[in-house]
Amino acid sequence: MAEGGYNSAQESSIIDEFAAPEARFECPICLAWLRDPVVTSCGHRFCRNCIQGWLEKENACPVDKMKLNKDKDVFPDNFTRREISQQRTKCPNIVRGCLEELSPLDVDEHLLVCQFRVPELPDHEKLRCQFVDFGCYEKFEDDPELQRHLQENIQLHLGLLSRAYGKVNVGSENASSTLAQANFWDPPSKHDNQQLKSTTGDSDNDNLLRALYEKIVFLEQKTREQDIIIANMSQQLTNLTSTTANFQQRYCNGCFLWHFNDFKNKIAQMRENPRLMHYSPGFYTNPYGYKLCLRINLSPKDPNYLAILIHLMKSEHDQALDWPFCGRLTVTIVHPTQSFKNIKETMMSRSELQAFNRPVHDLNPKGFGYTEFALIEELFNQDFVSNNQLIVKVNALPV
Amino acid sequence: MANIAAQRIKREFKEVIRSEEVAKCAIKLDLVDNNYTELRGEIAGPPDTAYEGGNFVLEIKVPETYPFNPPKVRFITKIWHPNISSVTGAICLDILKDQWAAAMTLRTVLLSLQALLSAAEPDDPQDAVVARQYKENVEMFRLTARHWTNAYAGGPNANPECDEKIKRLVDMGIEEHQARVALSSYNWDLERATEQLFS
Repeated sequence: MAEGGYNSAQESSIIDEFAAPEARFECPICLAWLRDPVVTSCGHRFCRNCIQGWLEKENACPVDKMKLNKDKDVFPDNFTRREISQQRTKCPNIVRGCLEELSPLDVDEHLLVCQFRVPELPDHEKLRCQFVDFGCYEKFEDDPELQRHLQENIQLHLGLLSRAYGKVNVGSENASSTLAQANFWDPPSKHDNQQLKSTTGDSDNDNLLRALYEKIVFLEQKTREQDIIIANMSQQLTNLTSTTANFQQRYCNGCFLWHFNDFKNKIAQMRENPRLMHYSPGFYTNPYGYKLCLRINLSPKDPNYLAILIHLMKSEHDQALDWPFCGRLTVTIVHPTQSFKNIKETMMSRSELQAFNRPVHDLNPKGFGYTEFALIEELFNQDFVSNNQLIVKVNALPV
Repeated sequence: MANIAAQRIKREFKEVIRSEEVAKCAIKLDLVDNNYTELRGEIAGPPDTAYEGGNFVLEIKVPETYPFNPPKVRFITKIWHPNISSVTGAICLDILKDQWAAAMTLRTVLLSLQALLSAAEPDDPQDAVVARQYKENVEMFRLTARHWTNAYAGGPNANPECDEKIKRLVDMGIEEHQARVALSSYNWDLERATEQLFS
């Protein structure tokens, strides 16, 4: 029993700088280890200085109010003195590496000079308990002290946590599903371990949120960069496509195929508005040759007929060409499956016509061709129109 | 001397923090400054008294000669009690005066004050007006103490009649606390309180 008592007394003094000594070694006045212990006639122990100080102004025991005479009723307690002198306690700074073993009486003095003591920090620099958000407001000089506090107060902290958990219970379902998803999303990167640790910790919703938030910001940034890259590439692609088309038209050597799309709709539109005309992209008879285009509209005389005409267009090397245009023009409406059905007309240029003069505007206002090239009815009946598309071929051969 | 005081208060402070009364929220102790010379205590009004449900804040000043002299304690929260001044919060309690013993601690002081709220000593009064009311009309005393607990200590038992009478005086331009004191002193007789206030 006595042994156990010693052990616990020693242990508590290691753990806590201000731990009270065992009751029989404690002075009721200073609440510290009895120093130069005395016993009164009423049977209470005090430090000699403490009880003398008290009896200078009072004449009763501070514990039970028995009348005491400071000269007659106070005796040295050498038994207790010997017992205390046999006590050894470790310096409270053992957690920081002090291995000193001392009499409990010397602890206070030693602490003043112990080389392992931590300097008193100003209040705002002290370490806060990690559970400060949950209501534990303890502050510490250094990490070992904090660790000791955390170890000693597991119960208290659990209590605080469960109380806090009760308050956030409403949101906890959301939080835990976020938690699961977060683990699911986490790539097996080098940060993974840390993240897992912080997400699995019960109280680390904050950390989790912060990690997720950082991730969102990172991903948003990445998305934005990708968007820009995609925009640039599609721009390049458009440029390339148009360049290719230009190439095709420039290097077609006067042979141009026009895929006239959305045929039915365009016919209907033109019927509604007879002045509506459709022009093909420009094409060249050779890379430095004449630039021409096709025009399709309804015949002004008989709207049942499709008119196909050829216009000369202004090009960048018109000055190197002979004017008026002289040559053979062949226009074919191509049948998609049966080539013998193709409607083919060949015309020779006529130099007296304005249509063959060098264009002043982008497009020569006069065209040349057949205003009644084909009967629209016929085109449909003979299956010229496939996929709602009419294919017109031009062959322009300057001579 | 001062060193003993500070050392002892440090130890006592830890003792109070770990005590079961703190766990039950019956008493509370906070440091006001870092050198352990001024503290702030708080006691809960004892159950089955007029002070039930209230929280009473105390100013505790530790003299340099502590524990050979008692700490200086007074109520900061206004309270209606025969042994406590309704004006200054000064306490008439023997252990805070001649019956102090060095073996007593802040914890025992706070518990003694809580006991004082349960058992007033009208024959050793600090506030003569309250003590007289206590002796002459204990029901009136309880009503008044409960009302003060509600008004100043966060107690749950409001008394609409008292509040109404105070409002009447406040409407006449009397400051609320002054009105409460006058009415409390005259057993909530509105006429006499008014007479006293305007005489």
